[in-house]
Amino acid sequence: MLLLLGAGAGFAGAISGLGGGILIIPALTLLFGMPLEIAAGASLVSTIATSSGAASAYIRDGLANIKIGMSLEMATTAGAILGSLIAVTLYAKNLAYIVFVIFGVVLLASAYPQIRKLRKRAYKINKPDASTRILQLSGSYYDESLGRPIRYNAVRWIYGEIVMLFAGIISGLLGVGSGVLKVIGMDDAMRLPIKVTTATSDFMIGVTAAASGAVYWIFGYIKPEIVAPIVIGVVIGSYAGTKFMERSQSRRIRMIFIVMLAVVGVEMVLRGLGVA
Amino acid sequence: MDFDDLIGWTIRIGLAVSACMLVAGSALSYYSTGGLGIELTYAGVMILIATPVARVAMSIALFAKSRNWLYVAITVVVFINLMIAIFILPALLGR
Repeated sequence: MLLLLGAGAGFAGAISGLGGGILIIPALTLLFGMPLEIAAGASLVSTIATSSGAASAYIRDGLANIKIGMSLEMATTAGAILGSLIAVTLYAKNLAYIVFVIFGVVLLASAYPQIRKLRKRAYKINKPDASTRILQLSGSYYDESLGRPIRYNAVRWIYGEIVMLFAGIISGLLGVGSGVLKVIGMDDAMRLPIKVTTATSDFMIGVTAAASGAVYWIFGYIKPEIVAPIVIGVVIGSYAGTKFMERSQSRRIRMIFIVMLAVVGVEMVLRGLGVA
Repeated sequence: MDFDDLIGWTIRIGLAVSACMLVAGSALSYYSTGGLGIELTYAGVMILIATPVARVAMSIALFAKSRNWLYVAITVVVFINLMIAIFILPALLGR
């Protein structure tokens, strides 16, 4: 059972730039009835797996940008440590419901900018700004669905970094890879093409999840018997997901992303409020 | 092999090793008693958590090789953060 869950989450995660934690935690808590902190621990570890599975493919295919990823990781890892410390404190005090509600709200709030983006036409390269030049943030990739190479420049790095700090905190707090916020940060703040965003995000979430995961491990929230089957499933699923993503149209990817956010967001809020 | 390839391989190897351990560990603990299956699973999880660290370490080395000092500094910062989470925090928290 857990294997299938892992596979599904891995697939969805790879195509949307998320770690699948977004799906795994609600599934484990809402469907399997596990305590939130255990679900979060399992989610973090499996996020590392999704990230590794997807990232290696995306790097090879030139979609993930390591410089962008690493430079933003400074903020996410710092935030992750902070967020997970807050989380373990909340769990220790039996305040898990707070985390549920925050979880749902974050998801729903994240769906909104994405819906706006659906209307945009194909990606047009930005003019580089100072941050692009100083931090070497230009690149290009070959878009299979369009059949041609696309060049891009990441801009407004500082703004992106701030979003990433926040993403890191959420990662630690909720036990997710925070791919959601990373995608938004890179897509919105730094104006990258969606495929680069999701690919780079997949690369990053593994590092962020390792930082949060380490803290959860310290507090004993990671249970190998749960984690193992999910991870195995995730590996399979994310591999399939990367293949699918590279061939899809960017717009479709965005739509899938939005639907996922909305559905899960509502559920988590309901759970937090004690309704679901 | 160029930069990106090496990082890709680092990630893959880490994932493969950990996945094998997890599969083996799970199978063992499912089919037989005794601590080995559980030990193996635990080890698999730890290796999995370690893979992003390896990723970052590899990047430091590769950026140093291409003399990209800005990014050596950046990746070192990320590495330090990871070290804090994995080693320093437990020591501070007394666990």
